[in-house]
Amino acid sequence: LKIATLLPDGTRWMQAMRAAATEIQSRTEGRVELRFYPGGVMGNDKSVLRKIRAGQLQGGMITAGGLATIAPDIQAYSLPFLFRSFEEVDHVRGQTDALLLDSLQRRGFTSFGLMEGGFVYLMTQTPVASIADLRATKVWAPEGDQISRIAYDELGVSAIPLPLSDVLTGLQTGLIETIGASPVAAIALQWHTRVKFLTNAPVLYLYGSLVIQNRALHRLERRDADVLNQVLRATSRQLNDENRLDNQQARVALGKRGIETVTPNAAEMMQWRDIVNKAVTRLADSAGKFSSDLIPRIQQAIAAYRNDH
Amino acid sequence: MLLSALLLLVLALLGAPLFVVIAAGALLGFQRADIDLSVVAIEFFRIAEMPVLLAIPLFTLAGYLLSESRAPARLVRLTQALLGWLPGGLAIVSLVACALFTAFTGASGVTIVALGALLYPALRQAGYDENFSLGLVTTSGSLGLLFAPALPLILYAVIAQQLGIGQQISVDAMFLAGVLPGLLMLLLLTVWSIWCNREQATVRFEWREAGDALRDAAWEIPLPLVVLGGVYTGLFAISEAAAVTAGYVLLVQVLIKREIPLAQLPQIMRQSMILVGGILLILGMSLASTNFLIDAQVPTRLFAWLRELVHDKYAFLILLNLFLLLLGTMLDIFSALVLIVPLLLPVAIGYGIDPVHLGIIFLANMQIGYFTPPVGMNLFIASYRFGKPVTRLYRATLSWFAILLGAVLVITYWPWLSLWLVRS
Amino acid sequence: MAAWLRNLQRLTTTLENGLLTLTLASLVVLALTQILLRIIWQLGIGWADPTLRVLVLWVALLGGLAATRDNNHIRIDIVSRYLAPAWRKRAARASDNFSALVCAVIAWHSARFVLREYEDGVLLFSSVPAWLCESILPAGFALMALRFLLSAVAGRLPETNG
Ligand code: NA
Ligand code: NA
Repeated sequence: LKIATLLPDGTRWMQAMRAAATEIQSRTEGRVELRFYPGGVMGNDKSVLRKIRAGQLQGGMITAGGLATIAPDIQAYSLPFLFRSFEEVDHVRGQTDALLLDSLQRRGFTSFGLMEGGFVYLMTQTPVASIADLRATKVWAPEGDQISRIAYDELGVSAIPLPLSDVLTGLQTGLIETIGASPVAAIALQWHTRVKFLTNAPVLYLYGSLVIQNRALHRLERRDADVLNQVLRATSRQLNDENRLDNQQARVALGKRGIETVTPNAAEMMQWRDIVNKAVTRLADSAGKFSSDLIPRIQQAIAAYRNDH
Repeated sequence: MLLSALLLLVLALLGAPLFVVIAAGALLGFQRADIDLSVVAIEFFRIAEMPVLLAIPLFTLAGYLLSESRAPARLVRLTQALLGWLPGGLAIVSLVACALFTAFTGASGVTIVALGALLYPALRQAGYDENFSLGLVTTSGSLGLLFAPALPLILYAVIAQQLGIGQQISVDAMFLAGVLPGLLMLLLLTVWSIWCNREQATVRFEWREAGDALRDAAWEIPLPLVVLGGVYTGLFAISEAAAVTAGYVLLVQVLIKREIPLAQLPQIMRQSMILVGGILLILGMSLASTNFLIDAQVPTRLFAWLRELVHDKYAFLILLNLFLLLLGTMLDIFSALVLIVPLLLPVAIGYGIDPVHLGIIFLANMQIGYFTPPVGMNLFIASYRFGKPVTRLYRATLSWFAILLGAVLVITYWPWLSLWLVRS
Repeated sequence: MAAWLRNLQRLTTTLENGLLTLTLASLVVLALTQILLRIIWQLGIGWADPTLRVLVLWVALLGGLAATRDNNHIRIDIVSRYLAPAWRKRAARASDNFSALVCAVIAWHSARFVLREYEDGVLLFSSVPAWLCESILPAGFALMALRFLLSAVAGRLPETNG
């Protein structure tokens, strides 16, 4: 089975995946071999999915945004300002993860569980506590990412679309001044060396998943498929948990590096959320993107959690 | 396998278009590996997923418009007036301009298409030898990869950082490390340019001629200032700089100076896009052939074999140079970085090589890989752009290649050059 | 060559040239508009970048097609320039037939790729179907195959230098 990913080789993620591959190979007595193509050498998420359809690859570790082109429901957790804390995330995911994975299964892909990528925070060169502050800076929009574009639209922010590879240079030359990134990504991509402030409000929740095409899984013997399933689920869960810790440590590391945390006051936060809620409604309404009851179910789960705490 | 490779070689030598030969190689490879051939189309479509490529048609159009106008003559007059007292003056200006430019375009062939096309006729008009001029513009196509903010430097730091090998490898460290090795290459080529043209007739500097030449080229002078200045100050991204250049040149040459009649415009557009089409076809097909190599894990296996072979630091470095040169002619710099660095770095550290130094060695090798005969990509692009046979370019770039090879060896065996600025 | 064939060739040439010029012109105009909007009014157009990149792909194939027509591709023809004229002609014919074959194979598999994207309803950005942008792949390579075939049958046009 050939599996592609954007994650670079040698990272802890890839080490865990390779360990899983070794375990699967030995437990199936060499009948199932996983071969990884890391670092984006097979192209971006879209190219990887195309190659899966063409049969060159059988699977990939793909972000929620990429998976949404197979099954839109999978992107439900990435609505802006949906979650306020990891506790809320855990509460909701316990209830609705299965729905999301089902939607993939129906479109011909097996997921071995969602893997957390952390919360995206706004990181800026001048303190940003209000929408007015944000409007005054040059904001980066990940190229081709519809959700962030609609959110920025509603906020009245004109974001500058740039590909990932140009962000660091853009920050350095002043083409952009504000980015949204998870603490781990900001450190890994060295963006943290070019920002000074972090706005302490989770913008959106990042995640992805290792998926393999059902067609490829059906070709395996039953017992081999079971081993594969078991090992990859365990690895996905382990990476999901480890990444939570990584992000928390990265937050601390950012603080140590002199990046100041800016906390918007309650009134400001209300204003952010009001405006973004409109965007969420617009997104959810647009051409039946999500299954009709999914978003309300998630919102109810969050509301219930907030009531209890 | 061997038979079909031989057949392809014969067809290539008989004059089959290069993109067809590369495509056929990729198709045969995928066919043998039992992979659906539509992967070739999927890979080719990645042309529409690479933001930097937008600069190619825009700069090409601007370059064609400029060369159809009298701009090159005016620019030559200007450099002669300002630098005519120095043998090889225009050559030196060209080297520096190309290096600065490549720092932003990352040696994707854009430099040759955008600047080379302008500099080559200028050099010829200024009386430089044809061989020398061709060698200069082809070599300069990848010069400057070691200067900030070239994307490969950033990418190396990002990849190395994520390997978690203890030492911090920051982008800033890579930027600093690249400065002296980059300057060494520039210096050697400058000395070579002066030496080649030592008997060139020099003219005395005259204020009056300088003033006239400045006034004459008044519309062209802002161009490099706007492009380089705009990019270095962050006013535009590189593809935007390309658009601004194309727009400005259209405005000046067609509407203001009217050296190009409007009716001639479609013809020039078509001519320039023939070049773009030719280059992008090759690029798209080499994406497919590279993908086959990656799928078959060729670079990884090659490296594993190399690792078996050596046991001490210096033998390792020599083989590393050879391996990287070979790799540089096979892969583009970005695939090479993500595929090989994770394998290479732990081994190199085992031999006591500093990771920052390794990065510079890696990129310096890749840089000359772009014009290593017989298959360096920039040789083909230059051959096409200037309408010269590839064999001609092999000859023209040979001495340049030898000089930069020497520089790479110095960079490899003298770590101080890369590390002094980082550590001080 | 039959008159109707020549007419057809003239017609497609005009069409191709028109399309190429139009594509490049829209590329330049869109790129400039985007910069002006950003610098003067601080506005960004979300669909501009993906559209520009698709235009680059179209320019690549239409330009490649024009290069095929003008017999002006990048080659390493080290051997053929030392051949006698009669043999050189044969070499050119062999290489053209081979090129036609390779382009036809690519066109066929591109068509399969585009069809798959059409069936799966893949969107490229916002609501633009991917197959529409990708359709230039099979069309471009099929026309290139045709041109190579024509050149193999009817002999090459004199090489023009661009
Ligand atoms: Na290549
Ligand atoms: Na190369």
